[in-house]
Amino acid sequence: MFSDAINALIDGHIICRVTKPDLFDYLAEKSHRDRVSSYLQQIGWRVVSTHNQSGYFLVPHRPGEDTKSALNSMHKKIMGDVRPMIEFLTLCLAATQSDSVLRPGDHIPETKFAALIDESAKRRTDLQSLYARLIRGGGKTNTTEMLRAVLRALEQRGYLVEHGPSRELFVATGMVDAFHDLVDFLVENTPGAEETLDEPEVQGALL
Amino acid sequence: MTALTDIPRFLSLLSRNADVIEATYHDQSVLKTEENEAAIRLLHKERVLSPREDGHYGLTRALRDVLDDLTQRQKRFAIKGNIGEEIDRMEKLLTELEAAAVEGRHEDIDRNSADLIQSLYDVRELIDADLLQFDQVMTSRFSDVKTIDEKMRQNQHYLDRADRLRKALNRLNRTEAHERFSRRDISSAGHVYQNVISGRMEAWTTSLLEISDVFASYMFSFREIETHTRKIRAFAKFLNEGGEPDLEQIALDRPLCNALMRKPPPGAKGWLDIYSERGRRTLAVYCEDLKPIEERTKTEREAGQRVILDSEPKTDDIVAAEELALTYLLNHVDKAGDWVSVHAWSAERDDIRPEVFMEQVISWITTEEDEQLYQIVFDLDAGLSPKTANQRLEDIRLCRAA
Repeated sequence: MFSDAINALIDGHIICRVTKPDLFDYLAEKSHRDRVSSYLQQIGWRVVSTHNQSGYFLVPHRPGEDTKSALNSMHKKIMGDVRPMIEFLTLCLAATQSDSVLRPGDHIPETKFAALIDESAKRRTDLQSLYARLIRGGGKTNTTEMLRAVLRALEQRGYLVEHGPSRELFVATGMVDAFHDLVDFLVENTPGAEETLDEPEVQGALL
Repeated sequence: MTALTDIPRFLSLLSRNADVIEATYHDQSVLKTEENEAAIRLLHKERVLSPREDGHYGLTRALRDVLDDLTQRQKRFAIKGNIGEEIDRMEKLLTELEAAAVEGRHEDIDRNSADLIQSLYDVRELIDADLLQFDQVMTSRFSDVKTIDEKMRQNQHYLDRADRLRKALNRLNRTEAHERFSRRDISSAGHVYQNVISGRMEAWTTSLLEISDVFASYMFSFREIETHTRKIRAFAKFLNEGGEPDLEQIALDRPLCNALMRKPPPGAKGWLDIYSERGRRTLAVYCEDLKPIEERTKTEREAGQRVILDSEPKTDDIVAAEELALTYLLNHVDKAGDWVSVHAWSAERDDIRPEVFMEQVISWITTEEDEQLYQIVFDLDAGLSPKTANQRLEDIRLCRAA
């Protein structure tokens, strides 16, 4: 298990209960995690978890000048996901008419989801915009086809995995929680973003 | 006028002006004159009378219903205080009036016209009363109840009522209604419809839209909102409204966020073990079954018509060198397992020019579906400002998607 965990982490996976449940349980034990982390520190990496311990992944042990260009390259890749993921999460909220944002382990049944999007012109427009953002030059116009391409693209980026024999069900991975952590960071550090949270969208605001 | 002590004062007002009220009840309306001006002003203020056309006033619906019950007056298509049903009644009265007009029944025309006009005023009154009540509820924010659940139920009730009112307004404003009321032989009712209903439609619709928006936003405020949901919604709103156009710079300025420093998957996931005896033996076994990869040979054929016996002559397209080269390029990208520069790769070939080949690649990216199998990066001319409208493409880089 020790070597499997190290190899999976080195391969750049986020280890979560959805993608690799055995390794996740192994790393959830602090003693195991410390052992893996101290091993990886010797080659410049350390194990960290998402804010609520739903996934484990590697970050540079001592980010400094020598790793700056590598960090910039990582930033560029990860930041490219921000706008599409924000659009995808808000589309999920609108389609399911839910107040609970997508979290690891949540299911996205493809056919049902496509039907929910088809119910509203605004949701269809939002899906088209998301599709255009994720699939460069994609020529699909059918809701089901566009949604499938979007879900596939997010699967390639590690946010979802396809699940079940019917292959119509996607499940959110621990990467989604890492994305929430990233949004927390961006909200705290982007001028003007934190003020938007002051709007009274809390239960009991009218009491 | 809600306090208990106001009731005797109100009953006294009715008693003092009983003659005006009775005359208005029997004549459908009363004309304001110098003699009754003070009484009418007071009765209007206390919502006993409501204004009509040309200085006339009529009894409000609530008091008229009380008097109808008292006098046992028969009302045709009688209903009790629901806008939808009042509109049903108004449409039936309109149909009756149209029939009387067509058949020339003058006595019925006068009677039906008076009833229809009364019904139009009733509809206006019900709509105004509903909008007024919505306004009061919005201002008070359901202050008479204290629990979230109760407020939610009330809010949902008013949302449903607002929706019913919207449907009622749509019914009243249909083209068919306008056409029916514009008939010359029912002009008196048509005139009232124009002034009382049609002329107020825009103000009613605007007011109703605002009310529905407020109730919908209340409903959202009543619901349990997760912190993450709030954050995602707020940040999405921030980005949509212009927000920070250069998020990447934020990340570069403050790089110490774990989620940003996550180790990405490498392009290649290992290497062959050709350095140990055991590894070499295993590989040798695999290699015995391998067949050499054949690069597609370039087919050249003379241009012109292709003639086959007993069939129509046809012209074959010559496969362009760039098209063949695209196949070789994609094979090369598949094998490379890393980013491949299209410009550098094509520059090494004698059969194609990089500039022409880049156009072929762009055409493939924009028209073919298998480009989803590849990650694509467009490198723009660094010498030009990013703000310049026309950017020059310097290179395209491809990598097989994981």
